[in-house]
Amino acid sequence: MRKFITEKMLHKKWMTICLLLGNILLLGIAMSNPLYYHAALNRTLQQYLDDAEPGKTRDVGEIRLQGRLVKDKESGLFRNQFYKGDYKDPDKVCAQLAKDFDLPMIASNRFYAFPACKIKNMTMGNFSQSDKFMVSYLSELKEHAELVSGSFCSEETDMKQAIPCVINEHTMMERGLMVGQEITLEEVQDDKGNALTLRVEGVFREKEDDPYWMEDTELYTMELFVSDAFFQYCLEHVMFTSGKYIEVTFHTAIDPKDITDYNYKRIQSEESRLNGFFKGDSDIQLNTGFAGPIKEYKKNRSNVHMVMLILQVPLFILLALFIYMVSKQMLSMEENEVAMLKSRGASRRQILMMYIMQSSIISGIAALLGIPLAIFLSKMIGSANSFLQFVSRSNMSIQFSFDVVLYLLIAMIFSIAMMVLPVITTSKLTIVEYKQEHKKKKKPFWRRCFLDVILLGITAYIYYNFLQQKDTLSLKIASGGDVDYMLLLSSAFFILGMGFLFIRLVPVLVWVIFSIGKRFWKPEMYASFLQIIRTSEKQEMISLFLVMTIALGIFNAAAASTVNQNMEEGIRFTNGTDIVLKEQFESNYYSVKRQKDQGGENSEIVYKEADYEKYDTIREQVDVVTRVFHCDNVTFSSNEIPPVTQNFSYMGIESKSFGEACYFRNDLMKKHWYHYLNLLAENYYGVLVSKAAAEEYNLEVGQNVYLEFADELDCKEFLNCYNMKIVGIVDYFPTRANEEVTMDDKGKVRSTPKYYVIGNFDFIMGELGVQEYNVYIKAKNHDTEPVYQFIKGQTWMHLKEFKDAENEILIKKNDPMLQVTNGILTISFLVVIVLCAAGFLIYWTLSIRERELLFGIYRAMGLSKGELKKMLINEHFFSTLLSIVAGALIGIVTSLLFVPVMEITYLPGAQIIPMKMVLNFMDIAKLGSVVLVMVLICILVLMRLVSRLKISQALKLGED
Amino acid sequence: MITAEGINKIYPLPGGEDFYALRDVNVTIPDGKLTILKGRSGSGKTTLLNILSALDDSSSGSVRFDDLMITGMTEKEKEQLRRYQIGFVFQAVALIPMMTAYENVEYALRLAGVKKGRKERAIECLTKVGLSERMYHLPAQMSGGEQQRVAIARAISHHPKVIFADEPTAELDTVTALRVVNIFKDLIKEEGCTIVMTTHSVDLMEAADVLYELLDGQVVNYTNREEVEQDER
Repeated sequence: MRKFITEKMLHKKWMTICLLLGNILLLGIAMSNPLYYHAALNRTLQQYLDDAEPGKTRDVGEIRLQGRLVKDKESGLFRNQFYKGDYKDPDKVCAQLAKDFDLPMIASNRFYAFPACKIKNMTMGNFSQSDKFMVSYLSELKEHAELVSGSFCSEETDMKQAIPCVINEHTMMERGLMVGQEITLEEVQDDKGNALTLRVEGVFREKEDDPYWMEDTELYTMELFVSDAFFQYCLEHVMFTSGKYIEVTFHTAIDPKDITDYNYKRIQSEESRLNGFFKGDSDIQLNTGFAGPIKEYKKNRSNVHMVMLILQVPLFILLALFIYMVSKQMLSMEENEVAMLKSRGASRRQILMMYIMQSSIISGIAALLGIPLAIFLSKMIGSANSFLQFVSRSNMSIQFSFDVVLYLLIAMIFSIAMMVLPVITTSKLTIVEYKQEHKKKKKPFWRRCFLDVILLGITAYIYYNFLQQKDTLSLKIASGGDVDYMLLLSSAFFILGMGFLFIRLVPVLVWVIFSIGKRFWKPEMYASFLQIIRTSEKQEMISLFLVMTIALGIFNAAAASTVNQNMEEGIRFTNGTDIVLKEQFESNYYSVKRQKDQGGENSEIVYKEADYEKYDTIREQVDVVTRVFHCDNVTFSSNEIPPVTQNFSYMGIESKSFGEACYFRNDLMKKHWYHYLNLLAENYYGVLVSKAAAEEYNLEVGQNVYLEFADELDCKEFLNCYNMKIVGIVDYFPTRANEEVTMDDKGKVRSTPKYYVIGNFDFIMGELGVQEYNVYIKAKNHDTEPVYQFIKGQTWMHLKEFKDAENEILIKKNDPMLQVTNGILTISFLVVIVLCAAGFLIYWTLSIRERELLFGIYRAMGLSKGELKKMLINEHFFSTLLSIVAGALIGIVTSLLFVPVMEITYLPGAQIIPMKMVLNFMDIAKLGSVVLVMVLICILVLMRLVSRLKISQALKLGED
Repeated sequence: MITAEGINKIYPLPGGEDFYALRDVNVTIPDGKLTILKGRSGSGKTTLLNILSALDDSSSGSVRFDDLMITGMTEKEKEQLRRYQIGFVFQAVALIPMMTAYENVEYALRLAGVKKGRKERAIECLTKVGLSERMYHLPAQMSGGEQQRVAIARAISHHPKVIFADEPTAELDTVTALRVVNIFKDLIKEEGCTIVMTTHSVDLMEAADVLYELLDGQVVNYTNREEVEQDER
């Protein structure tokens, strides 16, 4: 049997190669799934860790254990003992935490804070009764800090003199301390009854990029850090009467990169175990920087995988269709042999086994060849930057796992089933039954059960539900809820349903055209119309295949382009322009704050503007530089409206340069947005208000408005402006959102309206005095490098804010979900093109070979070669061209209906401007040109076959 | 009348030798008669039929169709000849599978450029072969004999001068085969056409007006019933 199968396969080598091609693609794509899946999940996890908000911990790689050292009842001194078991000795706690989490420790520190004490006396400065300081200790401080002034504490302490201590630079600023200053504390004395006096020996700041610094040093405002020796002395000899315990915090830093998809579950369970272990002491708290991101990751983990699978469903359908189609064609050439074997006594089982063996050989070879393809595809998905765009990304580590084998086996079984499926009916028939069966006209399964109507019905139901729940769905996904997978699948159902409907309608359409001119059709047209009408079932498969290919190609292109472009436009709109930065101006902020903190009267913060002329040096290297004043906390009022404090923001712009610098989609408003900028430019006192605000508060053009601005300390006493007039109402404005999606503690997402007022920069600066403002820089061709070089060259520039839209786009493009989408849609598009070309050529070549006798008859009856060619072109027109046109239409309709569905999945809530459907002509042209070339090649092959046709030989075929 | 003189059909063999499918064949097909080309399988009868009917070219020799010299005709001229002056019936039932019996016959008329009366003529031809009841059946819904009769109806529909029939009875039982031959005889009487038929069946030889027997590509025997009858008289 083996020999028979091999010879059979070699005899039909082109068909076998096509079948192998389909199998390699199917198995390769199936295997790439788990290969990419794990690599992508690791990256997703890393991204969650990178993006994590620190919360209680400062660093995502931090394990923080907080607790207390309590006093010994007898001595009144603190016991140097933390908890129990491995956590008893404070010196070993950090290492033990890393050991328990089974993660390598990259840094650690112990922070001790003795009870806060009031100030008894302080040299060189004022203090109030409520001012307090804490004697603190931070292990190995000297090695991880750099001095701003003074020196570090010596370990040899003369207890008769003031005890040296160091302070953080923020403490110096906040508390107005300086080197050499001495502080005598109350409620503390050594064993000889002496009061404790500390001298500020030095001021330090943290070393940059040192993982040791897990605590935000800006929080150290009361801490006077003493040496190790004095800390030990304090434990043994100093009595603190102000409190009963020492606050102690153990910080252990691990590298977040050591947390992977493989160990995250163990890390999570270890944290719960340790929480259980420490539960006995209510004062002990364990916090990790990675717990939150891991929890978030776990919640969304399945989404990437499911989206990946679902996006591949249409591709799998297409591949299955291709394999089935080729197998069926191959079998149609063998049906006679199979029936003959059956008649000569071969059992159905034996025939099936023969085909299973043949399919297994093809599938086995495909599995071997599919492995490199799977690796290639996984890397391709990982390097997808946009639709049909790839970049080189190195951090894609691909690992083989059991899942790969599992996926391969499932795909192999699926593919073998597809190859054997057509044999099931044929293997039942003897040669007599086969010939009888051939005479019967049986409607295909899909026609009989109205699969097209069922599929379209399901799609309509899903789509109706989507329209009903669109808003809630968007919020649900935005809050981390699962993507509705049926929604994603609905586009595939729709294309398939429409494809079936199309092939049901084509013969009807051709019949109508045929009937209209039945009497007048030339012989070649007459024959070709009858060929299409009467043999439509033979063409169904290739027509469906073509429709699906084109429709899927267009939909994939539209979906990917829309998601990508809207994402980019959304970021550019939110950012305003390429680079937005805010410099810190010199001011009396700290003294005003201190005054406020001490309960004094509010004072105005006075700024000294940083040199703006320095930007003149880069004006030639960038497109535009402009100033924008932002205030997100504004009280709004007018003659008719009492003050409204919530959700109002203000933006002061230099209208001309702002218009040149910002990105804004022209279709967002009825009038060009420059119209509104012109209104501002013409009215020095004029303001634009958002449509939402106008609707909510019945604002109209011409009304006067009054604004009170909050300063950096949230004080609205000093910044106000009363003489502004509304000159325009805008629907959208760069950087301004009309609503804000927020999540409450319970994870419930809600949308709140946001209102804004836009005014003139010069006017507002004139009214409020110098305020810190943002500088918007539009780079030439989005090339922000000159701006970075410029900032690097500015020694005295302190940036409070810095946003780079290009960088944000780059980060977003690295999002695994988006990468999966771009990668799979691109691969689908390319595979679709390959399959389309192969499937189309196979069908037509075989169809011509099958009809060689018929062509011989036509030729013998006097039909010329030219007429025969016209006949084929007409057939092509009605089967191929009509399928292509239908595919294109279905693709466009699918895109219009279902791309918004994709949008909700990818950009839920985050989209502050309405989604714009992107049907990139170039993508369609790419697909169109490939299909056109394919059709032309096919027509040329057919023409060549017809030209070489020898009538006598063709007729001889009939005798055979 | 069709005359073929000195017809050779040579196929080159891989070893450089030539294979003579036909060797110096001379035949004359008289008008309004049934001419049978007899011979065993591989004797060259189908090759000769193809050359006589302008389906194939001879390697040498000449074929004349009435006043027209087929040898040397362009492909277009041969197509025109086949289209208007010749009808074919093949060994394998060579109907157009997606056309009904009626459409098959009507198609030949369409090809011959008949614009008016196609329907009537198609029905007439099918009635003539006894298939008026089966006009709207597809070939796959008919028996072998019925299909062959449709092929005959198609062949005569456009009033060709000559009908070439290549083993039209090869796949039929004796009774049906005789019925087909009788139809041919009737057609000669009624339509006045010339019929050239190949066969290896001895039972059908009786029906021939002219008989050529071929063996290994050569005419080995020639019988003309009229001449025989004249000689006998």
